Amino acid sequence: MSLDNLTIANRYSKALFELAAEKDQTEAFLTELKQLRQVFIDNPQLAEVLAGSLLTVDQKQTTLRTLTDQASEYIKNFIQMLYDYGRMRNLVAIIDAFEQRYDDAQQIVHAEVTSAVKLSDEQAKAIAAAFAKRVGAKQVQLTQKVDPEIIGGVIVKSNNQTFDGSVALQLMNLKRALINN
Amino acid sequence: MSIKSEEISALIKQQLESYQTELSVAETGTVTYVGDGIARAHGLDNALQGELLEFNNGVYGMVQNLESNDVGIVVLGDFDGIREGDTVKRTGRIMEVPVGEAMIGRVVNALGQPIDGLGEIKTTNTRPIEHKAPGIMERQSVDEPLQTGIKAIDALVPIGRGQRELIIGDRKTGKTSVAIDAILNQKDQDMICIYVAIGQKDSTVRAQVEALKKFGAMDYTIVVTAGPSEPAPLLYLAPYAGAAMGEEFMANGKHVLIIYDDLSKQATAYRELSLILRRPPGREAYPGDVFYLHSRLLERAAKLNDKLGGGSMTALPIIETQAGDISAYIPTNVISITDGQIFLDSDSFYSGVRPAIDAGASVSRVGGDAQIKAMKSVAGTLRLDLASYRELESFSQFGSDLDAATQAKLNRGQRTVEVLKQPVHSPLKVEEQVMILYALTKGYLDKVAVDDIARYQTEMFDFIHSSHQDLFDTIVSTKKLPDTDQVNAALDEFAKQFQPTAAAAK
Repeated sequence: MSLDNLTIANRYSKALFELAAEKDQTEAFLTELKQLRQVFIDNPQLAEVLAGSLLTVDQKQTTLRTLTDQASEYIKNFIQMLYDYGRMRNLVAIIDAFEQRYDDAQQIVHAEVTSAVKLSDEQAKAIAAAFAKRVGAKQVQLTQKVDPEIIGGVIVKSNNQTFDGSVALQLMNLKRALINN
Repeated sequence: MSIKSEEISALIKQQLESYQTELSVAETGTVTYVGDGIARAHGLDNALQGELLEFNNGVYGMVQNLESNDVGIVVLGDFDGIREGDTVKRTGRIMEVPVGEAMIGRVVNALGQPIDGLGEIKTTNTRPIEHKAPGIMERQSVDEPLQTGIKAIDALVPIGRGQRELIIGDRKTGKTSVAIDAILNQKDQDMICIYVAIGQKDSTVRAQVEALKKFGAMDYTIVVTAGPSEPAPLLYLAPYAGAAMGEEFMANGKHVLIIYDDLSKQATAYRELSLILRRPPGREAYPGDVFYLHSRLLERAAKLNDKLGGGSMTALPIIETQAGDISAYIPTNVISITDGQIFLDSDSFYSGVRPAIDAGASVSRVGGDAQIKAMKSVAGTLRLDLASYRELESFSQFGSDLDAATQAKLNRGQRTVEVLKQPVHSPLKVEEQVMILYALTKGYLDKVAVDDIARYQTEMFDFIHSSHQDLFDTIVSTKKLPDTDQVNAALDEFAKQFQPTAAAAK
């Protein structure tokens, strides 16, 4: 049975992160990996080309070299190894998992905030601070989303948890309570 | 009905106040796959096996598979409204159904919601649908009879309260009729009946409900139904929901009769959802735990000890066979789980022997202890008589001359088969059964023409009810056969006045 994307991403990112922690270079690794990920996101065919059999081995190696040329030693090895093992398709997932590990280690929490109107900077900051306090994180990185359907209040989604303080939900609860009585 | 606006605004005000501070915190996951009654979701790291989940559109699901990266969920309802990327929320509850007295007389679905249009069921009690069966020390041996009112069953394969007796046979051999008759006979017996229809046509279930209503049996019956148009998970859950409702009564010291009609369809539904959940298929493509599926359900039938109130739950599971093949996977499984089986034979059914019970293949492993003494004494040799009759019958078809003893055996055999015939929905009281079987075994029927036996039976019952009611009363009160001289005298008296029909006399 072939392994799925998530399992692969977990294994490779664990090894890479442990290496980075050993060399005390986690932040440098992450910056570099993020750039690499951007390249792959901007060129969706790139992973497919490198993993597929459309190009000859030499051609693929040349393409790979343009990626590795500017990379630091470890990242260069990492890319070369992924290529050798035929895991280019999993690269983005591995980098995502690496970022997750980095965030866990640094106690950074990512949260998606949905509000009915666009939040001002102060409001966003206040929410981030309150949320950090609630979940016990050092730093909260917010992604903002505007959805007029929730009418008012905010919904914060983070790490498989939803903190729903929207007016829409309260109206829905009220409706259910009234119907049940 | 007058609605007071002040009351409503007061209520709304009250609720608004309590909602102001509430912030809903829920663990959520993302749906990655939906189809055929199941969904997969990513996230939900802390979900429990069997936990209820809520989808965006208000539909509930139940956690079935916990895997390394996602959870497999069976959707309990309409899965059309669920999309990939939807959020699914943990509820922290496990699946429960409403239970209690209020359920009696109602027709409900597998979730315990009423579907008979008689309004809301007012009960606050619920029970988890999956519940561990009573343990060894909580039980006692089966000692009370459960009268089905069917002569062939009460005499040959007696059922005790707390027993599990399988009804097995091909399609259209009267399996459901046997079960429905057993329910009808529980009138005034202080029994509560639960009829669980799994994958039965809605029109059929409607007809059964009408039959139960007509004979006044809905006063003590709950009908749980999961029709063929419902998603497979509901068919899989319906028997457990019925068992949970029955357990509530059993725990309160009452006696319950539960009928699962039928478990082959439940197994098929379970196979469907297991295959879609990608569990490895085994024999006949059923998953590996299909035995456990039925054993954990039927183990919940029990006779509780007196300390726990002495309640009981008798289960009559039904299995449909294909062309009489009882060695298929599901039939063998359920035969080995139950305490005996009633085998219905399509050949006898079509030759007019109804109920078409195959006396040779049907057994009851514990019910004999529960049979009343009077019945034991008249039914003791019946099984052997029938077996030797079957043997002789095929032999005598060669048409050679038969000696008198063989003739007599054949005669008795024909009459035995005739006596054990019984029309649908007309259960007989145990005292009446004892009387006709007594007449049979003592040879009172040997002189009666075979065609006259049904009439003999009804007229004999009328006669004894009107002139010798004390005989019936003795059987009911002492559970023993009355003084044989008295019975013989009464039967002799009746034989004198019984007129054979002209056609039969020829």
